[in-house]
Amino acid sequence: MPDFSTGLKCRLCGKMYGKQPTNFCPDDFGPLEVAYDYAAVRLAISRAAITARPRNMWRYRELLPLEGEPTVGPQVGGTPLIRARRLAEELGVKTLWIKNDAVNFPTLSFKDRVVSVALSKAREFGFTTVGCASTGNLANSVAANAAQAGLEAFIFVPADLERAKILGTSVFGANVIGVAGTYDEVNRLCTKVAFKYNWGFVNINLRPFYAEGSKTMGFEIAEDLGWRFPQHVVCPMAGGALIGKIHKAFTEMHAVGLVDTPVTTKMHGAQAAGCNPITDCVKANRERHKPIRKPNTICKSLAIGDPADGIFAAKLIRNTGGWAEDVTDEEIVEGMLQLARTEGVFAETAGGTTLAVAKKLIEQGRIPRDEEIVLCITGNGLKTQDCVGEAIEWPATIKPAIEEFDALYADAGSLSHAKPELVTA
Amino acid sequence: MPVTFKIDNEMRQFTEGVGTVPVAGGTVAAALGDLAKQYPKLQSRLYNATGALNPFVMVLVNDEDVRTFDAEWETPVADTDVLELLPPTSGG
Repeated sequence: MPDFSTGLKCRLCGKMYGKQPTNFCPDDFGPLEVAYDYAAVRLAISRAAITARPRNMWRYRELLPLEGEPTVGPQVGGTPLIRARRLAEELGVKTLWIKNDAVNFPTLSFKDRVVSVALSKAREFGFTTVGCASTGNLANSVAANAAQAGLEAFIFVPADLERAKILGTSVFGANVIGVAGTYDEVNRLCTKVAFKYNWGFVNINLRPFYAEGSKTMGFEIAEDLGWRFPQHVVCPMAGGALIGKIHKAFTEMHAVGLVDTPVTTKMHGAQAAGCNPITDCVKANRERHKPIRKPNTICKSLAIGDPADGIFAAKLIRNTGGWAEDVTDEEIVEGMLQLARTEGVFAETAGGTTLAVAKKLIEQGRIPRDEEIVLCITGNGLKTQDCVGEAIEWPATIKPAIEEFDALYADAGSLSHAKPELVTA
Repeated sequence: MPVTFKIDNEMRQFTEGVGTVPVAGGTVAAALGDLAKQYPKLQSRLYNATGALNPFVMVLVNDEDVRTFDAEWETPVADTDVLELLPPTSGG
């Protein structure tokens, strides 16, 4: 399959650069983004061709920036879009969907999408050592995918990261470096390391290619809705790239003829109150976010004080008629529990944030109750179990005797959950 | 005494390879202005046509992002302060 990407385009001045491991325009420091020959893609792509391919993110290969076939993460993507009827009923809305990347392969977050593109591209560029600055999910994914690809990996994380996310990185044999500092300090260190050692850092010098992987979440949403776009998407924001790439995916699907109607989806952004640079920017109607020096939230995966795409995310939210909100740690935990209890989806803290923000936007009337909503769930709750530990009742313990269970069942108050209704034939 | 402006490796392409530049100025904005005056290649990169600061410029003051301070670019700088010009933020 030909490579339909045409180069890297500055998001500020529009100047084009060749396909190379770099992330900013030397003329104005604007971030670079992959550009495509959409006219050529339009001739090459069709719904029939896509649906005939395996159900993973590479079925949208024409709109991903590789010269050859993907060599890393061939099974990534293809996660379920769940019709969330029980949650919709609790929220008092008509049509609600959950895009569940908590079960993405291989490391249970949407980051597998971006990493598979970045590491495939790293191989094309000839890198043998790769790395990242991460709040956890990216660390897991780079480590796992690098292991499978036989690449050496250097993973930099804030030293106070959740234990499960550090374990879930080290287990793959990666070189994990805990840095005593915030994510933004880790990120600045990694920028120096990437350029000094000439390694392929997925979210630094490979970032334009890496970020394109997020589009596949948007492609899948639209395809699973029957080749159409939802009225509302609620998306968690850390660096702010995902929300923009989902919208870019929708725009591209229309541009290449996969979806007939233009995109009118309202994009809504979700952050934690303890790290809310983008939501604050939107609500205060500022053009540029003010970075947060010391994020303070249980939602560590969204704890980026200086989001690289903050300006663009805020602008997109305004331009599409969406909104942005932030929620407290208590609301985040409530969101995690509600999602698990109603839909059987155990999301990490970012998922709790997304649901809690969606509730807030519905209550504010910014999302009408009769319009279709998609919630983007980006990571798995097994990685952030400590956050819900105190909110979960420990199960009652009995001896293995029916009398003990009878007594327990008769006293519903001693069970950790409400007494279930008996089903009779 | 001038303030010290450190230039990250990636940004030295605009300062003729120089890594440490003494600058004058009582605030971060003034110090940055003096840096651009000394190295004209930086002028059009740090400021737009109307003279406004480019939103992707990243400067640290004693290792802290200047935009996190209350006064942001108008933060006063003393002789002992160290400023650093970095590439734009990435990550995420």
